[in-house]
Amino acid sequence: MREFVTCFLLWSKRFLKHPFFVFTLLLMPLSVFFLKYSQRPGDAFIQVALFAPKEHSDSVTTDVIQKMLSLSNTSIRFYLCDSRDELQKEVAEGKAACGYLFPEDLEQKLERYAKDRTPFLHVIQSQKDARTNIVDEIVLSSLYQPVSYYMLTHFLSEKWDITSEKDWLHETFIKHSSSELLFHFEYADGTENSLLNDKDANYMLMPVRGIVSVIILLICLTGGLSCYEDSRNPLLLMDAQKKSLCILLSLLTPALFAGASGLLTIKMTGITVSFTTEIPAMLLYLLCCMGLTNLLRIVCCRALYLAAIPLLTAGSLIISPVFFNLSDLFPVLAPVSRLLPATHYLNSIYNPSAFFSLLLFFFLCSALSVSYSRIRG
Amino acid sequence: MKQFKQYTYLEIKRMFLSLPKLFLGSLFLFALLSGFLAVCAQGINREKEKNTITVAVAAAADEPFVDWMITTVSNMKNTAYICSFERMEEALAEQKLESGEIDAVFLIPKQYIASIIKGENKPVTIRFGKSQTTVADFLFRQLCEAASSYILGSEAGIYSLQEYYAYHNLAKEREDELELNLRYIKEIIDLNQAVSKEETAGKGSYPLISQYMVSGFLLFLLFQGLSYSKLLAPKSRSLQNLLTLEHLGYGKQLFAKETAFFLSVLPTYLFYFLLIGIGMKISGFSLPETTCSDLNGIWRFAVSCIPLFITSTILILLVYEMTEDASSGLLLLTFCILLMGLCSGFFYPLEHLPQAVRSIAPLLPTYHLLQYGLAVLHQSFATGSFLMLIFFSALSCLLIIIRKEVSHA
Repeated sequence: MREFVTCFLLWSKRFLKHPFFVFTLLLMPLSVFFLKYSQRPGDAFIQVALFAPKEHSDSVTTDVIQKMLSLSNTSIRFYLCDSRDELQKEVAEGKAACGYLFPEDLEQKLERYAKDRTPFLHVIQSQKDARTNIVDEIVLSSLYQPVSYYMLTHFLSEKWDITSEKDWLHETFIKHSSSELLFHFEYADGTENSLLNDKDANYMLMPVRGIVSVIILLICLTGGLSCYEDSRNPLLLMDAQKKSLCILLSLLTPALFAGASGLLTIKMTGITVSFTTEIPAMLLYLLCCMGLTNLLRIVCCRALYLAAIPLLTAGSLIISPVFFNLSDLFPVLAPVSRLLPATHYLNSIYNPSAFFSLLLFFFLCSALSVSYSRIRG
Repeated sequence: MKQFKQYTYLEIKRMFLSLPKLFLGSLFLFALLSGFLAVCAQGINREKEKNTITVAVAAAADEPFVDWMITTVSNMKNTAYICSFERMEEALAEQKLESGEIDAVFLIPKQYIASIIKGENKPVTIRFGKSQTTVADFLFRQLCEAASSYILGSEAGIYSLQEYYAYHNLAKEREDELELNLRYIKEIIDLNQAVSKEETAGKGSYPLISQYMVSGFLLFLLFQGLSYSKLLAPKSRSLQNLLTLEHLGYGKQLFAKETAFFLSVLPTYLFYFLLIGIGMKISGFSLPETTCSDLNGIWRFAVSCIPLFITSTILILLVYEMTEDASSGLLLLTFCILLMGLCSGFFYPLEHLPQAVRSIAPLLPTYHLLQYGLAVLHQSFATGSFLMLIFFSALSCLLIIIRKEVSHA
């Protein structure tokens, strides 16, 4: 036991005396601090430009524009342009995904649309993709309330004479109108998805957990580099079993520091779940990283090990669901994704069954390491 | 001069000895990144054949109108582009959610339609199968807000009709209510007819596929530096002092090291373009209206990106010289690539990032690497970015020399 404590203290000292290791540990929470406060009111993932003639617009146009401006959140932001040319320029330069031109007589155009489906809105786009489809839907849904009203009046006017009752109908319609969200978002285990239920959530913080997991993996792999030099380390002149455990400890030690820094970083983003989930998931993930690093260390010579580092780091960044879940778009990547410990860690936070996959990953790596060592003798 | 040539030769030899195994690792890395980009390119270029998100709708068997709602939403043109819906039992839906066969479940509460009719509006719970919330989920939430608006807008119309009929004691309320409901449903499905569309030529911004192609290429160049940690970590001070005594100052040592690094990675760089060319020939894949529209174009792109190659090698060298240690260099290099790449538009296009991040992007070398690469890909030349690459390369060399002077003082 004393050897392990001595080893742990010495490995800790070895890493903590590297200023850049400590700097990396501090850099994680500092980066989140920067990302958290980098988002200002007016920042959004998609920008949509609007234009309506200011002087001659009717009250419906003005009300709809104001409503759309008030709908802005961190996903989509609507803003006004002073002229059609400015709107076109914003779209052409990519500053806005698309731009909507409102007529000055929107009320009349809506009434006409209710009768004969003549378009009442004009959109300028520079390229057609899923974003502009979604923006179309949001803009149309915000216009749907007046459309719905004119459809009602048109429907009733086909059957009854409502000329003298339009004001009453309008007041009644407004009375029954509301703008609540009829959907509530949860994760797989039933926990509330606070990011999606908050329309002003900071989307820059979404990949933080994934980035932290990749950095932890890299720190573990970096710790594995030292093992190649430790074969001549007199500290490890002990029996084979103790030596193996001490080497594993040398892989786990930097990962433990990184894990602690990572948990602090995730806490700062505000996306932590309960500690009874976060800490076991992190510990299992650290074990998985240690197991994978140990397997690579045993199987590969140093040059190949070095070559594997960017492969695992870049692979985890791209294929694991750090920024995007590519497996959703390209199911062929799903099996490749399962070879990376970061995938299992990210899935385990809100999906209890993924804990077993973390454990399985660790046991597989350990079993392969032991088998290979025995075969090699 | 003779000592300089000898020293340069030794550095080159040292790097080339490790080349085979590093080459193998780089080959895997390249296969990974190029495979990813090729899959992305195919996914963006082809017609959308399958929907992105598979959603299960779980409701009680006797819940009315659920099948009708599924059909309605599925027929909406803009939603069909993104989602497909399927009704199933809640237990089966949760099982499929856990196994990953479906992406989300809509849990319809009991007596949902009755609550809508009464105006209670019980919320529908949407449960996602994955743990990471991504930008796609944020945009999906926006679609849900749109759906809420449609439901509530139609509700207001129906309630107003009910109140009008009750006030005037009119007959055939139910029939007319149903007729209005059907009109609303048809209207929601066909509402995109209300918008006339116009496309404008984009200038100054590049297609998403180009941005991710160049980002992938740059990530490949920069991540290669992780393999060279042991080779690029500074040598012992005593050796550097000895070299200085032999009239090989820090500047010459740096030049020799950079030359060796550049020459050792160059064969890999050229070999991969050879592989890309072969891949293009076999698969018939190309990027039309870009430099890489044919095989000759691939080599023109490779030659034109030499400045990117040189700048990336110098930046990698700077990181290792700053840290003076292989392990620290690995960590710092990865962190720099991640943070600078995020702020430069490698992972999310720059126009999607907050204003504060967009404002610092031009101060980063990775931003100019990306802009230069994009300009070359689209058959133009970004003079500003090219000059900035020269500036950052010179600045990096200066910083390395200053670092050596300071550490040896």
